[in-house]
Amino acid sequence: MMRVGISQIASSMRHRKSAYASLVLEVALGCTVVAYVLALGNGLRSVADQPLGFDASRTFAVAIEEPPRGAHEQRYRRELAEVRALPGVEAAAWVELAPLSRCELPETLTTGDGPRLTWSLRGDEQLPNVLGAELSAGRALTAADAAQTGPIPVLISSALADGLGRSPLGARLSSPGLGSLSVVGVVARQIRLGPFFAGATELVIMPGHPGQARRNTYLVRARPEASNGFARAADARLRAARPERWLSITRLSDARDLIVRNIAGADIIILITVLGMLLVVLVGSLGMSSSLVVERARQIGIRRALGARRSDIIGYFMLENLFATALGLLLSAGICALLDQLLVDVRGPLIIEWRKYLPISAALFLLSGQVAVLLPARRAAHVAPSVATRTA
Amino acid sequence: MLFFHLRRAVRSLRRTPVMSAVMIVDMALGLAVWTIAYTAVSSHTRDPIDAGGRIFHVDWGTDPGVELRGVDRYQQVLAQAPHMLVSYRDAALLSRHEAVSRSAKTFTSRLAVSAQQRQVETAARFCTRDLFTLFELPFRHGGAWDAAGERALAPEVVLDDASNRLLFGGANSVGRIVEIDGQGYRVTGVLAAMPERVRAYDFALTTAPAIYLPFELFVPLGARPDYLARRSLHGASMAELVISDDAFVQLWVQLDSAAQRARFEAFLESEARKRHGAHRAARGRLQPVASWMAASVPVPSGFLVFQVCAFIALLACSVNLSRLLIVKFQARAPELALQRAVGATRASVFAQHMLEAVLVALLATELALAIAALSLVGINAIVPDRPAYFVLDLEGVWLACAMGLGAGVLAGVLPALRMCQAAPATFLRSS
Repeated sequence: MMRVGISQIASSMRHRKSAYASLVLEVALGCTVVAYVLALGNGLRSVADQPLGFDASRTFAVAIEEPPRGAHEQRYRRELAEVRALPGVEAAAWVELAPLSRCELPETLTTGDGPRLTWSLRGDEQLPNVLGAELSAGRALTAADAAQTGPIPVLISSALADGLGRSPLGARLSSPGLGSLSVVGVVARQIRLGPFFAGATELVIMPGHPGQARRNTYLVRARPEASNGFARAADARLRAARPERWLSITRLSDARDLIVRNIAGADIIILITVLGMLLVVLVGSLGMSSSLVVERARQIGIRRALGARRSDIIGYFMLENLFATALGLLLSAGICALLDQLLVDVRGPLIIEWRKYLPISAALFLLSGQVAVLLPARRAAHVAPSVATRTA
Repeated sequence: MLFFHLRRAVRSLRRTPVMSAVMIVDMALGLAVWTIAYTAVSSHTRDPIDAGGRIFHVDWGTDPGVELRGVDRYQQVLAQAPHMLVSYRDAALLSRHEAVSRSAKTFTSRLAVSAQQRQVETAARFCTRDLFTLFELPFRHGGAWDAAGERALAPEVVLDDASNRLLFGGANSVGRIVEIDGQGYRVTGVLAAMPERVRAYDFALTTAPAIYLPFELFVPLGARPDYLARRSLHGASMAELVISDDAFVQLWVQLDSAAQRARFEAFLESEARKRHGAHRAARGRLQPVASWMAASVPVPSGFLVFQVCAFIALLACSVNLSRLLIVKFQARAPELALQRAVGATRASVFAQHMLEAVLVALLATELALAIAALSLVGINAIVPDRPAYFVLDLEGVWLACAMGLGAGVLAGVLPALRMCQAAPATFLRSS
């Protein structure tokens, strides 16, 4: 095969600076887009897949709505007894706002080290048990804790405990919304209220009983074997007891599935974007290569006349394209790194692992570049040596 | 001269139909992706209500007191959210100020209602009747409850289109009864169907079927707000919630003149100082609808990142178009050389080629808008959990046209410059 030096390719590219510069730039931008959107899709999936710290497939939010007549404490005890008596229930507790409700608002917690944002979960003393929140330190909440008006005994997550930077048991915290708090226990597991709340593992679990309200929500952990039929059975039993009230029983994994469906939709959009970018760059490369063949017909004829074989001509064009594409891919790495810095405030909890996807994107563009140049290269290889003798 | 160049541009495109189609489709793809990304982001904060800048959201202007630099935008919005609500008593005090022409207090809860032996869960929007006027909510049938009924806590409701379809099959249900807790509530009006959008007055950002009830009815109904920012410890009854400092009310006011605004702002500031102390920076906050939405509606990070990527994709398509134009123009170089030889100026050559690039961009924009509009229908179907229906509005169309034109001009500059700077003799010699 006729040897083709890098210097020959570089010289050729220098003579057609704007054409190759635009190819390099286009490959760089296209590869950046493909690597970044593939990484974005992965980032979305990672956040959506983050463990909640409890088994959402066995956890149900049972909402019971009826007119707020009579003593609310009495109603709470009656309903809790009914819910606990439902078939397949392992544990049940009243909760002010179930996880994954997306109505949570963060609280400002004042600690010894200054204010910090935290999330809170309020429910009766069995709530940690329903969530399977084992303690790594301290004691569990009791029924008497809900009645405390002084420093309210609370549990905190281990992430918040780490954030406090000292032994948290007995620590006094305060919050305009939560009041004066005293840490009595630390939950070992990281519990999240929803997959997209970054820092949601910093959690305060507070004891409480429901106030006067038309709707009470109970969080239920069902036994594994009873989970699939729990909602239907529970609905039938609760309706039979009091037909006039309104019921909603939601499996928390179903609430999460809605988010997962969104991610699946995003994947389709990302795939279409990737294919679109590859197509655009492929077409551009094809057009440019075709024009280069026409422009260099005489040069090709000379090479053929001097003994270059068809395979040499094809190889030359493909190597030239490979070189230009490789330069574009290098530039793309730089653009991705710059984009990473510029989007720090925007991307939030998303981790965009573009480095993981840049090789995939690079491979796709190298392949499409070679495919794009193949047809013009084959046409170039069929240029007859006699073309070299033509003056026009 | 413009028409002459335009005719030449059209003829040039017609002469190479495949090449022209490739250029148009190439540009259209990039512009369509950008348009879709822009629409998805802008749909979160778009609201047609402006009312000449007379409607304002009112809160105390407090902040979380935590350093939010370095925290992403979504988290910043969530952290600020509790400070955008006011308490029941504060809402009553502020809305009664003499400078306020109209005011609307509102919050969202959830309520199961029944009609025709069917029970459904709805987003219950407790509001004062001026909400409908302030936000220009169109009625398909009937209207809001009257002022006397509101004062008397008359059991009346307004349905939105979705809840009317669920409960009454979409018929004119004015005068009919929905039941809540066994008591009948008369339907006074049915809102017209509106595309799903983030509503400035809906803090819960819910797209569930909604009913609107007179504001004060939330107490006897025991309907606790979906969003509650605790500010104090108090007892468990609704009566104690109402007199507490807990914030759950969104307050919107209409201030018709600059003088009214100034008086209200002074009042708000003095009240803020009473609550938060003179040494604190809180002075109360009045925000017009558009800026309140921009500040308060959390746009997911994924959308924003995708929007940036879409812009880069558009740039890539613009570079690609530039390359294809160079290829196309160079193929016509001998013809151009002849033109220059018989007296065409550089400016004329530049204009001719720029016009061709702009024509490609305009055709690509048309195609891009069609692709985007169709794609958005598909996206609404495959992304079920979204706060608004993604739809291309007039502002999006104009912006897409501007971006298309800009990308076309950017793509055409280099090829046009190359052609007008090339010496005609070079091409005449080689042809």
